[in-house]
Order: sequence, then C-alpha cells, then structure tokens
Amino acid sequence: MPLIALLAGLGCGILLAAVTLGLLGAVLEAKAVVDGAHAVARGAAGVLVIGALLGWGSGLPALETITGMVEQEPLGGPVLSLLLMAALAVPLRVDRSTAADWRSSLLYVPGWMLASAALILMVTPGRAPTGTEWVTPVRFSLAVCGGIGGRALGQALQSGLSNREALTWPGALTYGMLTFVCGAAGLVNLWQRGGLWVASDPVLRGGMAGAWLAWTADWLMPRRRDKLGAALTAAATLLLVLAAVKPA
Amino acid sequence: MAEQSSDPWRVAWRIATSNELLVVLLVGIALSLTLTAWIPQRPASDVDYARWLSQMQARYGQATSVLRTLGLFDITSSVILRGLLAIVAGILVLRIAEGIDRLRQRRETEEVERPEGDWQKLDDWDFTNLLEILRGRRYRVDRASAEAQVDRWPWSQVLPLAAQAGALLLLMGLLLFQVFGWRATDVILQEGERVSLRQGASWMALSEDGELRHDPGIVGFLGERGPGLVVEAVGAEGESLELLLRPDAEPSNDLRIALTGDTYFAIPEAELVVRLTPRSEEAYTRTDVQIYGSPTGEIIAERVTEQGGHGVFEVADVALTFTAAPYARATAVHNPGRLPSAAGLAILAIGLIGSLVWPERRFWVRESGDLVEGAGPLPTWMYLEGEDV
Repeated sequence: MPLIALLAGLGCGILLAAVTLGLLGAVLEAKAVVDGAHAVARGAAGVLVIGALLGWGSGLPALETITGMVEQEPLGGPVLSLLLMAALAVPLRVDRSTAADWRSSLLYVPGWMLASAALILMVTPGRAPTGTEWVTPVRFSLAVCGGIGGRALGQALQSGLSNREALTWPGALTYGMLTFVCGAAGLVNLWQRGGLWVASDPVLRGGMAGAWLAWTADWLMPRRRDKLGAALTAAATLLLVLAAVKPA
Repeated sequence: MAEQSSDPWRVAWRIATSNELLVVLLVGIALSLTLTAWIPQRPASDVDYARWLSQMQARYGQATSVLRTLGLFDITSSVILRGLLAIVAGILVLRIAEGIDRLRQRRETEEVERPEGDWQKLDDWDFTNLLEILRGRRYRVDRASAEAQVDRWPWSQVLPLAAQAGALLLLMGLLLFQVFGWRATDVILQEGERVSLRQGASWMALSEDGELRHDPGIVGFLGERGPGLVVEAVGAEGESLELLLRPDAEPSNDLRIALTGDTYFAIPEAELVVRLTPRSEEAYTRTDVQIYGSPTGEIIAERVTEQGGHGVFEVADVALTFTAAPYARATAVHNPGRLPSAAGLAILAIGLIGSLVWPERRFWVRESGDLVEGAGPLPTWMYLEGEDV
C-alpha cells in the first residue's frame, strides 16, 4: 500500500504544479511556462497510470508475481477507481495556443481532484480499504469511462470559459463506452434475471442508468450553448464518477 | 430549414421535438434514478417491509416520515417518474415520425444545397484524389461541376432514428412488464420439492442435486441457501408416526422443514412437540433439537444434530431421524416484455454508437483554380495541422 500512496501523492503534487505553472505562465504571459505545465502534467499522468495498474493488479491473481515484487498488498474500494480515473483524465496532447492562456490549466483540474480524493482516502486512518472484491469488469469499465469523462470535463470547462470550440471526442468516447457497458449489463440481466433491473445492485441500477441518461442529455445539448453545455458535462461527469466509486 | 410560422401547432411540434425539451426530461429522470442508488428503496416483498422500515427509522430518524411523504423510498413507482417516462415515450414517437419524414424528403431531393459558412483553403489536396478518399471513407459525395456536397446520408439519419426506435421499444418492454408481468421473491425451495406459484399458474422445483427447474414461461434463479431437514419418526412397534407442522396442516409421515428460524412440529401419537433451532444460516449447519412433552410442556430431551444436519435420536420410545435437506431462496420472474426490452436495448445501443461514429455532418469541397477549398464542419484529418487527436 505505501508505494501506491506515494505514487498517488506524487501524481497529485505534479498535477497541482501543472495547474500552478499554467496560471503563472498566463500571468507572466510566458508561453514557455505554459508549455512546461503541459509537459509536467504528462509526467503526472504516467505516475498515476503506474499507481493505478499496481492497484488494480494487486487484486488479480494473475499479476501476483509482479505486485509481489514491489510488496504490494491487495488494495480495494473506491481508491482503485479514483486512481484510474485520475490517470485517464489528464490529456496527453493539447492544442498549441499562440498565447499563454490561464484556461488551459482547467484541463488538469478534474484529474487533480480525483487524485486528491484517492490520496485522502488512502492516508486517512481506518479508511484505506483492502480486498479484491472491487476488481470486477464492470467496476473497471466504469472507472475507464469516468476517467475519459473527466478529460471531457476539462475540455468543457476550458471551452465554456473561452470562445474556443471544445474537442468532442472525449465526450463522445465516454458516452459510447458507457452505452456499451450499460447495454451489455442490461442485456445480461435480462437474460439471467428476466428483467432489466431485477435483483440488480442498486448502485448499478440507479447510478449507471442515471449517469448514462445524463451523458445522453449532454450529447443532445446543442453545442451553441457553451456554458450550459459545460455545466451539463460537469453534472454528467459527477454522476458517472459517483456511480464508479459508490460501494454496493 | 423550418419556416418561421405563428401556427400554434407548428410551434408546439417544434417544442415537442426539440433537443432542449428532451434534455430537460432526461436530466429529470437521471436525477430520479441516481437517487435510488443513494436512498434505500422499499423491498419488493411485503414480508421484509416492516423490518426494512425499522432499519430506515434507525438510520434517518425524524427525516424518515419526510422521505416517505416525498416518495423517495419508492422512486421507481412514483407518479412523477412514470409521468416523465410517458412524456419521453410520446416525444420519441413524434421524433421518429419527423425523422422518417426527413429521410423520405431527403431521398426525394437530388439537388445540392448551398454551403454553410465561409470557404477555407485546404492545402496540399488534389480535388479528384480527395473525392476518392472521401468515397473510400464511406461518405456520400454529390458532385455538381467543380463543387461537391459530402455527407454520410442515409446512415447519419437512419442510425439516430434507430436509436430512438430502440428507446421506444425498450420503454414498451418495461411497460409490458409493469402491467402484465409479475415477480415472486423469497420462494423457499427444498431439494426434491416443487412449489406452485400464482395460484397454480406456474411452478418451480429444486431437484435432488440442487438444480432449479421451472415453468418455461418464467425466468427463475436461486439466491442464498440455508439449512433444512427432512424428519421421520418411528414408534416402539416400528410403525411410522404422523408428524404435524401446523395445527391446520395435513399430517405427514415425513416432514420437509426449511429452518428459516425456530421451527416447531408435533408428534400427536407420541404426545411430543419438537423444537428445531439452527446454529447458523449456513446450509449444512448443526441444529439444536429440544423435545417437549405435550400437554405438560416439560423438556424431555435436548440433542444436537451432526454437522450437515444428520441425526438419529431415540426419545420416549420414538426414533427421530433427521436428514439434511438445505433450502434455497428462489426468485421467479414472468416478463412478457423481455424480448422487446432486449431488442430495444440492442437497437438503442447500436444506433447510438453508430451515431457517434458517423455523426450527421454535411460539408462541401470545391476546386478553385489550383486550390481546394472546404466549407462547413470539415473533418480534422482534412487539415494539414490537426488539433488534439
């Protein structure tokens, strides 16, 4: 556990530094500083990815050899999902603006918040969960969707506060993957249980369905309403993250 | 595209088929369903309701009555949520009708539209080569002299239409289940036992090897298992004694008992009452056996079965034989909307994912001297320097 906590703390700190550098570069009107912030954020993404893989891998018997080499105890609970979401929420390439823009720091805010939440859960006494029950395909899929949704949120925040047109692919990918996951889960339940929500986990029933509907609304929202669209993306991402981290 | 008109029916139609209205409804339904993940919902079985309610009162205190009044303990059955779903279904019907009409109109219209927006230079493209590449990427290219209109018709219109039709089919399936379907939960089944459901209209059984069998018209599945016994009693003369589980039950020479808690049965011919208490909820746990005289009520003997529930005891000239017969809690679901729901869900998912991959987008390209220009929402790969990919 200590290694993953170290990685989470390191990733969280680097992301905070990236946000700070982005703001500083905008104040000083130094594009090089802003570019440095983007490079630093990519480093944070790499650190968080390693932490997330170690965390999820600690719950898989097939990867016991690797996690055993770093003396990693099985980690479980929302921490795993938060780490993976934080890693995926950091964009690896950004638009090269001709001017230093403080809004580019907003791209890293969702990742930083997710990493901070994971770190707080890990270091708070008595709240660091262990165990392998969290490592399931549905939980993993929700975490991946939540991470890419966090990236979409960063893009939406940046575009909502500027006149820049947002990239649409992170939101489209999140929605597409979430549709696939929810559809597959629904079909399996219909086959095995005879009903869409019969005997299903309340979190999966309510949380996933609510998050999917919110993302559907986000997809339907006319793009001309930037600020309202950004607010809807934020609400949809929040619902998805909550569904991904809420225990059964 | 639509004419500006003060006709109230046209205004009502535009509002009803607008994305904004659908967004508002979906957000409302999303919030309602999300609440069910955070606020415990009342159990389907009335048997568990009293215990569940006391747990909620312990958890929420004085707020329990407020939450009950607001209907937050049974959101999926609330009038508001069902009303929202009904409105969405109505809107989907209108949108599907409009979509079919647009598809028909566009199919009949062959002329190329005027481009929207300004023309932009597209460096390093050959016009003929670009059109070939676009056709290779499954775009429809309508060419008029040196200008071409490019889109993904008809799939860009068919796929969203399919998604809406799938959603409507899914809602119909849910409605069929709500109106004509039923669900029986916590059906106690012991191995070798068959239980009738819905006044004999259906049945479920648990075979000797623990396999669930049921009426083909239902879906059945097993839940948790618990301890159970088969009891037989033999008298001093070797005769089989009758056993009585309840005063109004038919006497039986062998009793099947699911030990869901303390259980009593009587042996009238021997004037004995037997109390069975499982030591845990595991399927093959030990069971405490207390034998009382009737009608005095004095304890005559106390025994414990072996691990697994087996035991043979001789008490007051009666030989009691206990054999393990664990029970299982089963659920039976009759859902006439199962097939429409599954089909609707599949079509909805395919339509949505297809719409994301092939969005409805129309753009134009033209040859202007040695240059190639584009107008409208051009794909990013057509630019020499793309944005974040």
